[in-house]
Amino acid sequence: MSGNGGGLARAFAEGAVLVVLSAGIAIGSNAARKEPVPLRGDARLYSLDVDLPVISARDAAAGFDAGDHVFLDARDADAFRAGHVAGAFSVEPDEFLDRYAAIGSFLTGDTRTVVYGAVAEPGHVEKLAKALLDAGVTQASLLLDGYEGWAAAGGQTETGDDPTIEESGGGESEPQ
Amino acid sequence: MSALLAVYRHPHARLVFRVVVGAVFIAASLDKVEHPVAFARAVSYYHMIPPQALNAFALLVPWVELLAGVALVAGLASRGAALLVGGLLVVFIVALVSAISRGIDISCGCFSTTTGEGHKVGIDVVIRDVAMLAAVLPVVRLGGGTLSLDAVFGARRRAAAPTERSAA
Repeated sequence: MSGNGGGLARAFAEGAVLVVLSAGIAIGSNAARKEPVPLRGDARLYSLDVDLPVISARDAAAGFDAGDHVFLDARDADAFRAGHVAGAFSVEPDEFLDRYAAIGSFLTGDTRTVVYGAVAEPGHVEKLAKALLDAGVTQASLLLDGYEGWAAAGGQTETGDDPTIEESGGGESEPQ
Repeated sequence: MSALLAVYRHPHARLVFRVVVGAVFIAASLDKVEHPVAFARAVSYYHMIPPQALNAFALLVPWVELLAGVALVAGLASRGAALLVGGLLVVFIVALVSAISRGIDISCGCFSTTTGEGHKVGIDVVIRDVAMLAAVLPVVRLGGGTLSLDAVFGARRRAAAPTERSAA
């Protein structure tokens, strides 16, 4: 019995040495990085608090190909114009109610709504996702790593304004 | 049953256990060591660690996985490495079960931090981790078994001990 106790004590001691070694190497290698990672987490990136599932770019792309996913871009108009998920609607969170009148019919039935934004501005995604839930659109997901993740994964993108905004402003474009 | 237990605890079995689990941990650590921020983000989707602690967690854990994996494969500090790996596996299992029970649909972040790659959180990943946990338990309790550096150094120490005594 004392042998087992001694063995366990040795295991803890060895484990502690390995942890200290790992911590030393982790801190050293991080310091040697071109852009060291701050030891405290970036709350901007990690603090999303929305009761919606997260969807990976790969799964979202499969839904995109199947045509049963609708993408809502929570970024501002300039970012949207510079590049967005092909066929996405531009919905700045503060304008959600106005935009919902134009696009609400696309967010019903078996359609899954995918909300995305810029990784550096998760607050926009959070706000839009909460507005969606308030509007009763619960068949929705948050896109992992936002637009950057979609583009990096080779998802289809396009540039330009959202035609449904032009339409509501008096244009005649059809929604994509 | 006792025969099965004897096989489970056999030094040769422990060699296989620690080499396989160690290799899995080495493979699992490499992408995370290289991309700590992406790993931090993957961990954040579990909603289990305070945002302020995510980066420190994401910087440390992959190195613990790597060093413990190397130690397991080499059979050096086998018990400590197996204890660490076992502890990490318990944490992973709790996180996975928690994510599954909350319906979080994400990649598990086990091997790859790249968006869309890797296994999704699911019961199969939990079973894999439970199997690895079962594999490291006899190593924690009994050591690295056959072909471990611990055994080599232990034998040298035992061989040197009488000489030292006689020299004294």
